[in-house]
Amino acid sequence: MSAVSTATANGTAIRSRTAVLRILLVEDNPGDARLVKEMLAEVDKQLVFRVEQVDTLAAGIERTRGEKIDAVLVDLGLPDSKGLETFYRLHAAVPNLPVIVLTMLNDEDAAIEAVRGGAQDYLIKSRLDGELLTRVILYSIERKRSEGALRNRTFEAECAQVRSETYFDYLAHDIANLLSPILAYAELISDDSEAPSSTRARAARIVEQTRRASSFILSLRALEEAERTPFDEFDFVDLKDMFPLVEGRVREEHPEKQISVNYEMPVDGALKVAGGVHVHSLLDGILENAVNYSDSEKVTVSIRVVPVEEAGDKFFWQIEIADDGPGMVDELKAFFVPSGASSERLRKGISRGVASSLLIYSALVGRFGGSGWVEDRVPGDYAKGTKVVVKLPRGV
Amino acid sequence: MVIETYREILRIYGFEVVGWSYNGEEAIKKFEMLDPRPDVIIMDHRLPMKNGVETTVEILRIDPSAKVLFVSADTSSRSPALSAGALGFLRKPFELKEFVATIKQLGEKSMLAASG
Repeated sequence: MSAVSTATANGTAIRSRTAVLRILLVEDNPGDARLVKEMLAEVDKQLVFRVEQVDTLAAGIERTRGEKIDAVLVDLGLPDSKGLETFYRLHAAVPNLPVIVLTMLNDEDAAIEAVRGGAQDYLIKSRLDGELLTRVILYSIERKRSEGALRNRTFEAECAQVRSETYFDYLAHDIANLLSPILAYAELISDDSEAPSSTRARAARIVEQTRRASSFILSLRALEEAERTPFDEFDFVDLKDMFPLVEGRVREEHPEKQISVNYEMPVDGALKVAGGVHVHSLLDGILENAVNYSDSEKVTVSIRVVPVEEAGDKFFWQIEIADDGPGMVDELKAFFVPSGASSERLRKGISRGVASSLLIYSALVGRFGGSGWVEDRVPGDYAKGTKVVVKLPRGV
Repeated sequence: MVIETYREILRIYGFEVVGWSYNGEEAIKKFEMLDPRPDVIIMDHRLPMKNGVETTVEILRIDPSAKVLFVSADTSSRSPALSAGALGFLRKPFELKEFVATIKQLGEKSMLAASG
């Protein structure tokens, strides 16, 4: 079918030069076979159908293994096979060939079933005409070709996905590995009592930065893992278990700061949310930002959890984490929108130098079926601190 | 590079490094030949020939009392390593103090072999 052109979006087939299409007709009724051949013989001058006819399914399948065929027209009632089975056996033998089922008026149900099973179309013999037959054949060939192209593209995309996961894994693993001696030597120097204090202080900086690089790799890994996890496979975790862990970790990381954390949440019962271990990374990242970006030595963080119901049947725990730090300008706030974790927004965010943690959290929240945003702690005055709001699906 | 770093650090902290290898199979052979056996074996996961988990299984088959400390940047190896019988897991890059403290905890004597 190399010479035939493609059907365009508006449905017109463009045929620029004479095309030859080889049609295999599997039909045991000589009268029906002659009718089809006649109809296809006089279509138009730029399109030539070369019809080959066989009487049985076995002969038909045999013929498809020979010289190239562009489409198969098959009658479901043949001497060696009856009904839907005829189609299924043929389709199994030639899954990549477009098959059009020919049927009697009283057997349309079987034909419809065949289309569900992979036939491109069906034609009722008593209602055949040349134009309809031609159009059905051409479109069937075209549809089958697009299906094949789509399958190929999907396969290529899956391969590319696996490759980029592999590259990412190497990157994360090998950089963490390389950080290992850097951290060890820097710790050695910073702990060396014989080294000058300025040298030790510089080494301590290397230690700090290496730790940050290492935890950054961990966050990205967590996100990448979350991307590969189907939504319903995330465990539910209790926020009441998470907050003390996260608060403890952040306090340990920032001994230089006086951190006070106030909680306001329902006293009774667990606060279960979807997201498994990633909820910990998410909360840890938000609290870490609140403390780390504060210029002052005293940091006050208020954490509030409230139940939220949407559309009558969707239940969330809404977590609000407010700090009294330097605040966030509106342009940055806009990036913390989970629905916006589209590739376009991500790329834009990256090119604008948006803090990677912001993009990571927003992507994570979206993956858990939640949403979130950033607002000013004091509405209208961003310089008075930031409030990060995250809504996560409530579990039982 | 990583192995050299460990060897230097371990020496500084007063441990004796009695052997090392760059792949799993060689590690098993060396372990078999060492007499006395090391007090602690430090094992990476992504190794040529045999990975750390496979090597740990083999070493424990030879000597069920062997003490393996897993150190890897591959966090997904933590659970299989512990199931295979490793007594500890440290994610790379690890804190020096934690590394040294864990080895001290595991080994009563000051002899060990490094692998990875």
